[in-house]
Amino acid sequence: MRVGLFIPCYIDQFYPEVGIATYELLIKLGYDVTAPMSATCCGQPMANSGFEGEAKKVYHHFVDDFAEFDAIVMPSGSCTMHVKEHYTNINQTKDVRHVRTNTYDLVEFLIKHGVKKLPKVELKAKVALHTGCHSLRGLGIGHPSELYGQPTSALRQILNHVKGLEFVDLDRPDECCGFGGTFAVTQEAISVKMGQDKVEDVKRTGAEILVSNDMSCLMHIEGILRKQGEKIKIMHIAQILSPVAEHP
Amino acid sequence: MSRKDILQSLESSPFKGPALPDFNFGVKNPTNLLERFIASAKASASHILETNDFNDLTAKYSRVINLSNQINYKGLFLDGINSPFELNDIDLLVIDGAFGVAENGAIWVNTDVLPFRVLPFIAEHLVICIKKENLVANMHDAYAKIQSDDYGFGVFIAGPSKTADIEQSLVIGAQGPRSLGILF
Amino acid sequence: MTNHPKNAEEFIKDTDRVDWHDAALWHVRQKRDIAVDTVPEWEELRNIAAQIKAHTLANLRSYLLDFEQNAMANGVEVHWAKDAEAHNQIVLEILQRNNVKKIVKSKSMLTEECGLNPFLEGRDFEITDTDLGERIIQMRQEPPSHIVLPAIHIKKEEVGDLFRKELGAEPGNNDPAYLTNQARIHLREKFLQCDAAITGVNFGVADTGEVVVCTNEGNADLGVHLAPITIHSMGIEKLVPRQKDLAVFIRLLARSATGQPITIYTSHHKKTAKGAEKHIVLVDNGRSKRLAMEKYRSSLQCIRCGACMNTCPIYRRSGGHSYHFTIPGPIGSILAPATDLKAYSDLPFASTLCGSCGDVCPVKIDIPNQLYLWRQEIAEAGALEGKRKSMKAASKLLASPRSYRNFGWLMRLGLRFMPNFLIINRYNVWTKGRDLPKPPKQSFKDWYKKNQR
Repeated sequence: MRVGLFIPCYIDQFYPEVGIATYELLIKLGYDVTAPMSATCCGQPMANSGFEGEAKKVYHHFVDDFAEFDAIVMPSGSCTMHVKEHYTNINQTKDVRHVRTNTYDLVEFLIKHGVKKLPKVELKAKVALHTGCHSLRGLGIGHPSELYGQPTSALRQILNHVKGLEFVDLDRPDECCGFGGTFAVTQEAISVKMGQDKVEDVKRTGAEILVSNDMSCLMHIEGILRKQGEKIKIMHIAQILSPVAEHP
Repeated sequence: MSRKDILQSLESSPFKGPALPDFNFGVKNPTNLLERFIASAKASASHILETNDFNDLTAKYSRVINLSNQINYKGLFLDGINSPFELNDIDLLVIDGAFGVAENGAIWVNTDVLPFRVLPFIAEHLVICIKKENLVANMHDAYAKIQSDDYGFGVFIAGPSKTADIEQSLVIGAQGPRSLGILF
Repeated sequence: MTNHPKNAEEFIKDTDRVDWHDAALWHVRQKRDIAVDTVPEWEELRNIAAQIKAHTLANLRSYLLDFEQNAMANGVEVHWAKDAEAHNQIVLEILQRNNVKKIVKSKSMLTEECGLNPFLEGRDFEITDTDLGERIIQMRQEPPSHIVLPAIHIKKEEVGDLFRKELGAEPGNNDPAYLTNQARIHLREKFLQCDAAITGVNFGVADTGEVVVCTNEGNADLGVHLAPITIHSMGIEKLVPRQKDLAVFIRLLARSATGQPITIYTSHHKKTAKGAEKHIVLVDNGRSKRLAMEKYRSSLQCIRCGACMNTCPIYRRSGGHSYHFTIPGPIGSILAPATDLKAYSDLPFASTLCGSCGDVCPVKIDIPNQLYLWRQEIAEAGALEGKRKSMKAASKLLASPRSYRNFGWLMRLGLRFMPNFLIINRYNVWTKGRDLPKPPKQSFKDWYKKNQR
C-alpha cells in the first residue's frame, strides 16, 4: 500500500522528531511511505478563522500533493478531520473525494490496519493519555464520555502493546486542553486557563509523560508545563511506538 | 395581524423534513416494578410510608386534609372554601395518585378529582396513595395510560419540591410541599 | 464594544470563583452522565427526538394550526405574536383588560428574550420572578447567566447579603437551606397576592392542545392554579405532534439538564379551570426566519436543557454573562448571530470546536458545525476585515511550497512561528501564559531529504 505521509506545518517546523517517528513506524509496518516535499498545510487555521474561501488554494494544493496515494496518514487528528469534513467548498472531483475518504489520523490508521503487527517496544513510565477532541468526537477514535456507555480510549488500546507502561487516569479525560488553533491567541485567557487546568489534572495523577495523538494539543500543554517549570514530558504516540532521537 | 404574518412566513420557504418516526420503548413484561419504583422515589427524596408512619404524620399535624379514597382517615373538610387563596394553611394533604413510574419515581395525579388544582402544590406536606398494581416501567408506558385519561390538568409529581439554585446545594422544600410521602 | 474574549478575561481574573464555577457545572455534567447510563436506549432516544423535532419544524404551519384548534377546544385563548413587541403588547392587553396589578412569573427564557419584565415594570405592574434563582437575579437586576441555573454565578454569601438587604434575613447566616426558606416565605406572600401568572412552556402538544411546564420548585403551579388569569408564553418551535412524543422528550430533558430522571413537577395544562382564564401566546420573533436558513434550522430543535453549557469548557470558565446574549453558551452562540450578525460576531469564535456540546445535545443539534459555518458567514459579511489580509497572506504562503520552506526556516530562526502564523503582529500573546517550543535545528523535511528510504 502506498502511503502519503502528511506532516502538518507546525510539526514539520517544531517537532520534526514526531514526523520522523511516524515515518519510521509506518516503514517498520511495511508500508511504502512517501512524504511529499511540496506539502504544506491542510488549511484549517484559515477555515476555522472564518476564511474558508481563502483556504481553497491550500486545499487544492493538498489534494494535488496527495491524490496519488492509497492512503494519506498524518500524526494529527485535527488536520485529518479538517480534510475529511471541511473540504466541501471545492469542486468534489474524483481526486478530492479520494483524498477525503482515504485520509487517516495515525491512530485511526493503526486501528484499521496495523495494531496487531506493531513493533515490540518497552518503556517504563507512568503515562496519562489525551485524545485530541477532533479525533475523539470528530473522527470517533475512542468512545467519548458524553455518549451512552463506557468511555474508551483508542490510545490506550494501542499502547497496551507497549511493555512497561503504567496508565493513570485523568479526572476529566475528555476535557479539551484549550488549544483550539487560533483560539489559543484570540481567546488567550481562557485558552491558557484550560491548559493550566489540564496540567493540574495531569499533575494530580503523578504521570511522568502525557501522551497524545495530537501534537497541537501537546504544543500548547507543553508551553504551559515549561512556563511552570514542570518536568512532566509530552510525547506523541508515534514517539512511543517508534522511539527516535529528540530534536534530531 | 401576527397570525397571518407568521403563517405566511412559514409558508414562504417550505422544506422537506423526515417522516414522523414511530417508536416503541414500552416494556412488555416488566419485572421488579415495585422495587424499582421505590428506589427511584427514594432517590428523589420521597418517603415510602408504612401505616405507622402515616399515623405518626397525621398525629403530628393539626390541619390535615384527606381527599384519598384509599385510606380511612377523617381530617378537616374543605367545605365553605371558595377560593384557592384560602388554602395556604394546610399542614398535610392526602390524595390518590393514578399510577407510578418505576424509572423515575413519578406519580401521575389528575387534579380533576380535587376541588382545587393548587392543593398538591400549596400544602406544606403531601402524601400520595397509590396501589402496588398501578405501576408502569417507564414514561412511554405512562403516556400510553394517560392517553385515555380525560384531564383538565394533570401532573407527574416525583418528590418534594426542591431547588439547588444557591450554589448547587440541594434544598428540599422550595416553594411547594416540604415532603412527599408515598403510601401503598 | 463588549466582546467575549474581553468579558472572559475579566471573569477569569478571580481564580477561585472561576474554579468554583467550573467545578459546580462539571458536577452537573457528571450527574448527567450517570443519569444517561441508566437508559440503554439513550442514543436511540436522541435520534428519535431529533427526527420528531425536524419533522415538526418542516410541518410547523399545520401543527400550529392543529395546536390552536385543540387549545381553543380546551377553552384556552390562543394569541399569535410575530415579534417581541407584539408579545408584550398582547400580554399587556390581557393584563389591562382584567385589571391586573400583581403578576407572578415562572421561568421563561422567551419572556427574557422579549424583555417582558422591563416592559411591564415601566407600566407600573409588579412582576415577580418566582423561581428562586430567577428571583435572586431579579433582585440583583441582572440577566440570568444560565438557562437552567440562572444564578449559578453567584455565591451563597452574596445571596445572604442580598436577602438581608431585601428580605431582612438574619446577618451571618448563609446556609442555603435557611436562605431558600426566607425566599419561600417571601414568595408565598407574592403568590397569595397575585392577580395573574405567566409561565414559559417546555412543550406544546399539537394533538391535544395542552402545554407542558417542567419545574422542580413547584413555583409555576402555585402561580397558575392560584391566579385567575394565566398566560403561557410559548415559542412556536416548542411543539411536538403527539402526546406520546412527550415521553421521549421528558426522558431526555431532566437527565440532560441536571441528571434527574424527571423534574419534580411535569405539569400538563390542558383545559381552563372553572372560573379562570387561560391564554397561550405563540411567539415567532425571528424563528420562522431562522427556519428558512437551511444551515442553521436545526438550532430550533433546542429544548433548553442547558447541557451544552454545563459541558462547555469555555462556558464553565467564562460565565454566562460573557456571552452578552439572552441564551449563553454554545447554543446561544449559534442562535445569537441570526438575530444580529455584527453584534454577536464574536460568539461563534468563543469555542475550540471540541465537539462536546454536540455529543451531549439531547436533540442532536450539530452545534460545532454551526459554529464553524457562522464563522464563515461572519468573515464573508466583512466583520473580520482586519484579519483578511493576514489570512490571504497565509493562504498564499501555504499554497506555495517554496515560500513556505523559506518562511519556516525564518520562523524557526526567529522563534515566532505560531503567533506570527496565527495572527500577524500579536506574537507576544502566545507567550503570556505559555513558553514556545524549543526550536529544532532542522525541520522534518530537512531530515527527510537526507534520510528518506
